[in-house]
Amino acid sequence: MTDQLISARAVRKAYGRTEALRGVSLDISAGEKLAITGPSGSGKSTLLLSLAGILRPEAGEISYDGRRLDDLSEAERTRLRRREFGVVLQFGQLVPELTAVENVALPLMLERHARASADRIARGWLERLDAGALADVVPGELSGGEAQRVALARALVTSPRVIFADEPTGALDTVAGEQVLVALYDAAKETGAAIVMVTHDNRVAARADREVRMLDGTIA
Amino acid sequence: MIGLGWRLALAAGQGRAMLLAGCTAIVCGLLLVTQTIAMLPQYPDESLYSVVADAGTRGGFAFGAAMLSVPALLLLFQAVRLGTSARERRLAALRLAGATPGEVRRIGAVEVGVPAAVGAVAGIGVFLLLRLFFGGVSMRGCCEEGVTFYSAGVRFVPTSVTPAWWQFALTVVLVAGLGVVVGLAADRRVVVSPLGLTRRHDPRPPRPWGVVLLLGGVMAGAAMLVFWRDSDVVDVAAPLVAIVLLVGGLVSLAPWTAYVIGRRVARRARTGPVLLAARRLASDPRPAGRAAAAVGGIGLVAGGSAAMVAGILDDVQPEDRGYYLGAIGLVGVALLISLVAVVGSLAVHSVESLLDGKRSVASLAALGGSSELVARAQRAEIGLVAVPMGVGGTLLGAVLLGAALAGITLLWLLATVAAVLVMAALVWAAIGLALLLTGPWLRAATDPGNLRTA
Repeated sequence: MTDQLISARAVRKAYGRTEALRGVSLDISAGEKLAITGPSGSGKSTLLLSLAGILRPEAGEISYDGRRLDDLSEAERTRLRRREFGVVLQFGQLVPELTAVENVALPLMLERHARASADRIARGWLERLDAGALADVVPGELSGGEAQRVALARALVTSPRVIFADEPTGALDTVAGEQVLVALYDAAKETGAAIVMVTHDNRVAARADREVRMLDGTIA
Repeated sequence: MIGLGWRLALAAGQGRAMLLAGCTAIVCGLLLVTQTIAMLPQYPDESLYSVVADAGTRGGFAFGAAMLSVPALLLLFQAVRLGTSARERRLAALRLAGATPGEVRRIGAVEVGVPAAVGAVAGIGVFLLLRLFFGGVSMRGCCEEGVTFYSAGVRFVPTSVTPAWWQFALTVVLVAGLGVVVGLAADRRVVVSPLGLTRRHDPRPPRPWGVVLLLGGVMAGAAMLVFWRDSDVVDVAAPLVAIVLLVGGLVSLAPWTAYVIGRRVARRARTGPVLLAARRLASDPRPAGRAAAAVGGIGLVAGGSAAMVAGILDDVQPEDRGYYLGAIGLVGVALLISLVAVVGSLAVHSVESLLDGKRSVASLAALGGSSELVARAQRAEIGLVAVPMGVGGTLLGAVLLGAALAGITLLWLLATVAAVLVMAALVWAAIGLALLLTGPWLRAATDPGNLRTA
């Protein structure tokens, strides 16, 4: 936990007249498991999406591995996300028309992997997350927990250095949520990826190395 | 109810209302032109464009004018679905406020019916404008009876005859009603509940019933030409009936084509955009099929025209060619106008598919998929249906219409190849133009910020 991987300094972000982030500063180390908690509307998701380079803050700096994210063009940030980050959202957000294995293979295909090789790697990840049997099923036929495991495989398939997860267990029952968390932590441990996770759930936050609590757009 | 429907029609956006009104205005204007041409006596006392002036070819021109309303109606079908997401929220809110399903359906019909009716009335203006700019020039009293006057310019709307007031009224009512029917057809699978709206997805893959129409077209045309060749009426009617059946067949084959191509390409796709496009086509082929449906019909007429050109160059004396080639040139202009309507249909489909899949598009962007990637997927989705439909239609037209009427020669082969290449290029350009029009929606849809709100 010594190498600083992500650094945010005095980050501000507003939606119209509502300030979602009011000068947030935060450091995340390589391999660290960080939980961002707080009540609804406190700015948790905005912070996570800003750290992942998905949202662009109005003021402040966010650096990843020494590179300023706000200096990068949209195309460069897109490529960075594709290669270095994995993103898991509350409802999985799988592409509904693609099968599970195609969803998982998609990030590799975007990186110009051959279809056969991308499929092979994707199936491997689905097997590791105990979702091998779901490979040829479309998202509409998956349960919430199954869809989240597929989304997790999709986030992990490029071997990212950071996994950003926004309430990954928020829409799941306790058992399914536990399975997804175990899978996420096991995979991150195996690959050495850092986890930055937004959660409402204290039990989920307790698994993290560190918890950051947000309140009204600042770290409490 | 009408007041509420009107306010909702305005809430749906002026762009959508204007597009709906524009489509019905064009259809109404074209039908009035068709009727006016049909009312002409054998020797009208005005100078008109040769094909209209000649009683023998006039029917074919009127038929072509009426057929031009097909792409406009297909665009209307697409336009009804424009802004569906916001409309769905409005209708669900109405249900929550206490409206019954029947009331919501009626409000939906008014929402489409009002702009359609306004457009139909405006169609009279379209007709008058066409008559102003392309109207025949009166020759009354200049010569004896029984003379056909040919104009130098493209004057194809008769001015010596005018439909009666009841014909205007009937056409307006018919077109407005047609607009409502098309609107209701677009919404027939929609179930609005107070908690939101669901679209009853038809799980059955489309069937190639259009082949029956295609075969019907071939057989009807062939039978009439073989058995009643001597009849002047059948000689003109046979190709027209065949064209209607063939165009109908191609239009109804479009969703099946989308489904078959989607399934086949998905298995072999090597890139992300093509895989996304093919799977979208395979899982819901009807919207893309409908958007590209008119391309098949356009190709059919283009292929037939190309073969006819070859026949004219082979058989007709050079000094007489101008008459026929001019008429075919007019067909080319009509096809280009139809292609503009197709651009509109493709653009509306593209916008709707982006808005329908807003959340998955945003998550794709979060994964590292750029807006260029989504644009490539959109282009592939439309291209996978539209290009084969255009090329297939052109080949069919060249073989069935052209070869039957003009014969198969080396010139026919060259004309067919040229027509296929031009059609493929035009369809590709139309897709590019449609995507250019949808650029702002595409960039908005791929904004990862949508993950917060989508």
